[in-house]
Amino acid sequence: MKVADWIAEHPARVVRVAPDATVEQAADQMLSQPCLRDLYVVDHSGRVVGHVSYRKLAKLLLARYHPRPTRRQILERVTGERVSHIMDMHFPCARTSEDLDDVLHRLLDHDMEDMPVVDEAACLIGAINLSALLRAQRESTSASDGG
Amino acid sequence: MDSLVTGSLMLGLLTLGGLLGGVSAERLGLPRVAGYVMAGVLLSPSLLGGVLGLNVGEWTGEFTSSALAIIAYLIGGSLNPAQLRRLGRVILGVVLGETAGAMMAVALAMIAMQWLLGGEFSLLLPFALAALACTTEPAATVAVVHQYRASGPLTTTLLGVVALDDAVGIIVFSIVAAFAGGDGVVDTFFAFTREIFGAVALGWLGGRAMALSFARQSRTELDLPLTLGMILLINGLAQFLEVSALLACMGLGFFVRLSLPMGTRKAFRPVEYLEETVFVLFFTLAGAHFELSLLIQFMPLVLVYYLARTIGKLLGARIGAGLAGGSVTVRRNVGWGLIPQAGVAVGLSLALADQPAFSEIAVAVVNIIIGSTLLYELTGPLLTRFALARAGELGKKRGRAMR
Repeated sequence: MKVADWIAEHPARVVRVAPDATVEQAADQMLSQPCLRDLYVVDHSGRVVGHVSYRKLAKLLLARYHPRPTRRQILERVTGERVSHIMDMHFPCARTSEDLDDVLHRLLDHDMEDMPVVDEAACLIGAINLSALLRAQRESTSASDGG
Repeated sequence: MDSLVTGSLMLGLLTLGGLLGGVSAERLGLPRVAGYVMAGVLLSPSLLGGVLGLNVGEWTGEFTSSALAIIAYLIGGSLNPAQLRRLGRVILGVVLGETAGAMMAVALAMIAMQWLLGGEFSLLLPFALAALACTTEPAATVAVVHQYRASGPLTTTLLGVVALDDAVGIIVFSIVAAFAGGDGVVDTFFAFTREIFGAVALGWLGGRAMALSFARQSRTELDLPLTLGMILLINGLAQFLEVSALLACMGLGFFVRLSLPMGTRKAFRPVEYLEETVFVLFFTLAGAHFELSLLIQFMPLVLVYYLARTIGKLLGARIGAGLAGGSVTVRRNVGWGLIPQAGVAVGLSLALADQPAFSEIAVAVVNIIIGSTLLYELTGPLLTRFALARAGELGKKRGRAMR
């Protein structure tokens, strides 16, 4: 199955935010979609330029409750005001023409629950949702067990 | 016992002994550091170490060198140029002011002590202690901030300063060590240039190589061996090439972060978990070098170092904040939160023993730093709390995390 076929059959919502949004604004966006755990930083032309995980946002906004942060975490807390300051610029993504089986290991190897799907211009057009994959796998297993 | 078994046994005893000592100290309401040091004292040649035939001195250089390499790497990788710009003038001004203030105060105080006590005059001890005076222990300050849920401009400034000034401390220490290694003006100049610029170049090369390696492999289980292997390799190469190993490892961390933005997770998180282990080793090792007779002999120097460094930090931070346009609240209070000193200073004092130029004073320096560190551990958190209270930035003491 191609990635394009998967996202057509399993459309997934994605959370987008601009690079100059504050960390608090990004958290509000994320909380408005409580089932999602990945936030994509998208520039004015729709290109995906970064990724922020829910966990990273929570760690930053709840940093005062962390008893032993590292120096790196302390400096992120002091200097991380905008999404562009804290986003990961290198993250796995899938293209519509790729085989689904070939891209799944990237999702499992990284701290992400959704894998963004981009077109040739790196514009975000959807996502492969981990829970949808798991649901499909369980349904397939149940069907073969029952059948 | 052959040397390999002795080294392995030594490492195990130091780590577990220190851990046990630290946990016991905490249970008794004492600083954990005191427990680590006491464990080391028990393992020293004059006590259990002598009975077990453990020669701590034989292994101090290697352990310390590798452990400091890891710490220097983490310090180098903790910041990038974009973050430095965002820190703002006040934090940078305070860092420069308090490090310069502490260095000058300690150097002048030690020179004055030498003059008062008489005897052979040497700049080695004043310069060595001045270089060590720069560093601040972030954990103690952060612990108070966390305990009282402190927040506000002073809190933010303090956090930025304590996260940054270990980097300045290592740079200053490397420069002092490079200067001390020369013989005569010309030789000193060339030694300095080779050690410092050679270290930066080696760190840059290592950082680029490491970034390329990370770009080619995504398996998380390989992150730690890759990172640890590169740190130890660069450390060893730096020693072989006779350039500053500390600066080279710091450069490695800095340049790998610069070259690979995603490396903040892959290139640092696996090694960050080792930092506490490293500090356990530092303090326990330092304790094993501790000699009560020397501490008693050097007690006046311990007290002078403690007072001079404290005064230098207070005045230097105040002046730095003032020149950078900091608010009255920050100017008046930031220095009080910069008093704690521990892990990195102890590690650097142990590293002095490996520097031929400082070998004569190394034992004295270790004992002075241990003695003053115990004083800082007892008084530092109280002074940080005082500063935050005076600034009106104390929240409620930690009880329940949320209502």
